[in-house]
Parts: sequence; C-alpha cells; structure tokens
Amino acid sequence: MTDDGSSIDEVGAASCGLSGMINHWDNDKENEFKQAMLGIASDIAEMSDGFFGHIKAILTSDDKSMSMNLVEPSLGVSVHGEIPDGSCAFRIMVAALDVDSEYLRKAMNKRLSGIEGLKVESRRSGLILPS
Amino acid sequence: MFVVLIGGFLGSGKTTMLLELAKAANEAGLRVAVIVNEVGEVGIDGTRINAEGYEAVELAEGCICCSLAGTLQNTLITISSDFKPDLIILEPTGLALPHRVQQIIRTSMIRPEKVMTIGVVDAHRFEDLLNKRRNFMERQLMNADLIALNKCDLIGEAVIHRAVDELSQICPGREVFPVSALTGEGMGTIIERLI
Repeated sequence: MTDDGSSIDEVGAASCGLSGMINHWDNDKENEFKQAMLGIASDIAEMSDGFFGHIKAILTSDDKSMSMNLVEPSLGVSVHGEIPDGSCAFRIMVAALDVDSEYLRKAMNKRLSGIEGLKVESRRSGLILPS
Repeated sequence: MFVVLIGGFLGSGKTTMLLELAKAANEAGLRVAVIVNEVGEVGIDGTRINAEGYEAVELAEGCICCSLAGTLQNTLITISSDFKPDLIILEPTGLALPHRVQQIIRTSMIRPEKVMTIGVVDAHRFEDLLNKRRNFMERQLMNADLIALNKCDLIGEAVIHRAVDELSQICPGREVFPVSALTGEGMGTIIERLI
C-alpha cells in the first residue's frame, strides 16, 4: 500500500454537505428531520450493502444550537441541545462508503425536500474561523 | 504545548471524546484550542464545540491528511502564536489517515512538547467494519499511542473482550481501553495520560 493520494479515494468513500433554512421549526419538524436522516441512510444502505458512514447535522437559531447524529440506523438519531421554535439555519453532511457524491446529493435532496418550509441555500460553507 | 490527535473512522465518537478531553483539560486549568476537520463540504462540529465554550477552528471542504495539509500547517502556526494554548486537540475527518497528520504536525514548526495520538474505534460496529475495510482500519490505527474502544456501553462483555483481543493483534504493543465517551465510563485513564 502506497501512502500517496487521497485517503477518501483509498477507502472508497464519498461525502456531501448541504445548508439552508427551515421555517416553523418545532417538534414535528424535528421528527421530520430525523426521518429524513434515516431515509438518507436507508437509500445509502440500499445502494452499498449496508450503511457504513455518518450523517450529522447542526441547526442554529438565536445563538442556540442542536446537533443530530446518525451512525447506526437501528439506534436512531441522537440529538444534543435544543433550539427555540421558529426559523432556523441548518447544515447537514453525509459521508459513507461505497457510494459516489452525486448519489449522496440526490438522496439528501430527495429526503430533505419532503420537509415543508425547508430551503436549501448553499452547498458549501468553506472555512469557518472563530470570531 | 501538547497536541492530541483523535483519529478513527466515521462515527466512531471522536467529537464526543474530544469534548470530554477538552472539558477535563479546561477543568485542570489548561488553555485548550480545538481544530476539527469535516469532509462533507459544510462544517458541523465546529459550531457544536464553540457552543460548548471552546476555541475551535473548523476546516471544511477537504481532508487535512491530504488536500488541506498546507491549511492545517498554517492553522497550527496561527493558533500557536495568537492563542498560545497549552493543549491543541485535533480531530481529522473519519476518512483521514492519522499517521499522515502526525507527519504534518512534525513539519509544522510549532514544536509541541508532545504529540499523542488516540485511535478511536466504534465497538458497536467494529466487527462489521473490520470485515468491510480491514486494511483501511489498520492504516487508521497505525502509530496510535493508545486505542480507545468506544461505545462500550452499547455492547456486552464478550464482544468487548473479542474486540480488545483483535485490536491487540492489529496494534501490537499498544494499550486498548474500553470506554464510553458518552457516559464517561473508562475515560479517566485516558484523561490521566493527557493531563
């Protein structure tokens, strides 16, 4: 095994990230978002003989943040933190083995588009430095 | 200044472990800086770590062991000179090869007193991942100073023993610590190595 090239290519993985806004965030939207994450994992599992990856999201509103993580679909989505009801910004990323990034993007768009009031604004956020 | 590098596959619990270590170091009076790397074009963990009150720099849109190697070196130099931390905790992506990051730290000119690499392994998915990508897992754990077999709260004793035995063969001479970064169980021994 050489030590040149990208480790992502070496392992045979892909990743994709999306960001945007969600209007009228509340408990129902939280459940819809969790279901969308599980749906993305399901789509990946169907394509690649199991889900070996990580789906994570951060939602922010009024200086509050909520993170969501999905690693093993049978364990569900773990949630850390709370945000108030109302509008919030979100970022979500998926990385997994044995899929390509275009497939991930399509799966994410398909599953997230089912959430009413969710708008994808940008694919990239770039370098984030502390203030 | 110490640098702790937390390596391991996607979803192995690196960020949860990072937060536990940062909390312990902070309580011990150390000035802590965090560098996290995301592979998926958008940053996620930096916001969470900042929300917990730590100084975090998030490098997104690439992997610090390959495409963002130069960016990492510059970030290490900037943080060291501007923030003057006692401890930098560095979390590469779950698809990175930590031994490459070690090399980047060594050549970054920040001259840390010590670099410690923790290889984090998801105990719950260990056997499946080993079957799926054994070679890559072995390469991810290369040069780790210790192995944290994480998420042991999710599995039984027999599975833990099997995983510890297997990891001892993959990483001969390295200690394997069964832990749960989420519950804190077993983390004391790792924290003692750090502080």
